[in-house]
Amino acid sequence: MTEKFDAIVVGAGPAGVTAAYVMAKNSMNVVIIERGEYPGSKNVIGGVLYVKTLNDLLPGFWSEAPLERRIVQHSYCLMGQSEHTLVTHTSAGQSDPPNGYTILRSKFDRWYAKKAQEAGATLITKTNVTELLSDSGRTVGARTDRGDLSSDVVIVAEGANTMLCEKAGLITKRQPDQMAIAVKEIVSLPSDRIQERFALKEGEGAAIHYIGAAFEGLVGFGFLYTNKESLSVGFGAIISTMMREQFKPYDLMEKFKQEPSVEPFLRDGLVKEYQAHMIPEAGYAGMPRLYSDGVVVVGDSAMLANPITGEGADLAVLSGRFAGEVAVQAHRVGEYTSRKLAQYQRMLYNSFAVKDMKKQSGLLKYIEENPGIMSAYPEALNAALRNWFKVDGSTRAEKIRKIRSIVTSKRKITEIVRDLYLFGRKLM
Amino acid sequence: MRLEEKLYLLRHVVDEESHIKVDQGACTRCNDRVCLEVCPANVYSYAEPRVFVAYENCVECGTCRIACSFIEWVNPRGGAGISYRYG
Repeated sequence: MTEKFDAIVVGAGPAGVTAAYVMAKNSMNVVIIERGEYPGSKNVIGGVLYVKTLNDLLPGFWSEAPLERRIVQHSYCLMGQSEHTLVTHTSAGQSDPPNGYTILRSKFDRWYAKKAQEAGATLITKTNVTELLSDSGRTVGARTDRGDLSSDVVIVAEGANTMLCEKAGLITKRQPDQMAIAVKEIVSLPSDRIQERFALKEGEGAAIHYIGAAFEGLVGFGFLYTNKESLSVGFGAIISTMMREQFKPYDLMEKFKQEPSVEPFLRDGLVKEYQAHMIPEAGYAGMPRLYSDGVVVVGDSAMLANPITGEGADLAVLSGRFAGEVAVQAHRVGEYTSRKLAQYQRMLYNSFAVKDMKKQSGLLKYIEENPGIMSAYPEALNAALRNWFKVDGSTRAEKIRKIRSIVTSKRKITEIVRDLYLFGRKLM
Repeated sequence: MRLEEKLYLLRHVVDEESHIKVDQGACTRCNDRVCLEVCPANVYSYAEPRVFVAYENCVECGTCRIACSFIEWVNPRGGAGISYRYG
């Protein structure tokens, strides 16, 4: 005899917990099944949770949740060979709600799962869902390593490893050019040290994204985020490009940490944790149909990540909310057909997030096919600035000529025109 | 800092049974052995004629599963495997 719920949610990350919260708030009988010891124990974030989507659901959550630092400083660091250029935007004013916070998943996810529990959802941890149960093509429950559960609808929030979705025929297995590997370290430092190094006030945080020389040949970038008493440092790179360049992830991590634009921030810090996770990068083009009879796919499983903006967790929340709302409507009429649940994907496609993902689709493929592109421009910029700042007896006109020849030595004029056109069309 | 020292910092609940299975026949014939390259926790090693799998060090990113189609990778039993303290 299997226990019956209105909804089973697989995975207690932000996508699953949001869906569970929405359904439980609307009096549905919901169970969340998490394979980890506690919510967040299997999860990794680069660093920043953008507040918008969760604040729409839980206004003011940021005054209560376990957050690290409010991001007031965003930088791009363009790395050359033994030189770099840092472009920083700092916003001293405080917006309401704030734009984004760094978070640590083991704290945040536990807090968030409690919200769903307070709303009435049941949380079961240390339990692995091994397959979805179906009856004549309709999903009717989940098989776990501790027994079967049945439900009217299953929300799959299993994360970047989509074994359940593949087994159920919802998603085809991802290819190495559709996924990125991300490696990260937590490096502890006293909070006043962090504030001095990054010129921050208490509670304020910085985010730096690195592109260029250290990641030559890869489609990838590095990051550095400030937490309360630690830094999150690491990189993400498309797996096919890591395979092509034969970079070992841990070697690349050490190389990145030694960069002159990274090392001074980390100095004297102690490594507290080494982490790795995958990021779905197939984008809009790789997004399959995310629903079928009795089942909806959300979050990382649904390919919801944006490498340009660094969004992921907030998109998980957005998709979880849409899935929850559609499940509530389905519950009201007692119909969980694919036709009914299709509304979920329509809501996603109409959202700001997926519109952006749609617009920029093809961009990663283009960069992958032009592997020089991600290091050519940072190197050209650094060389140009080096010449610009140098006093060596040449006139400004001579310098401009030299800079022009440096830029065109990295990338041909025709290529530059094509790059600019493509980036403009995909990002603007 | 060496990878071994970093892995030593991690909390794992070790399952008696491996959640990773490799096809030794395919491994022996394999020319690339990308598993040796892509794994961030150095779970895979090769000593003629077979690939060894230190599954207890796995951080469950799933990269090897995407990179190689001969690796059969499932989630560890509920509650087992990596347990991040920060995340």
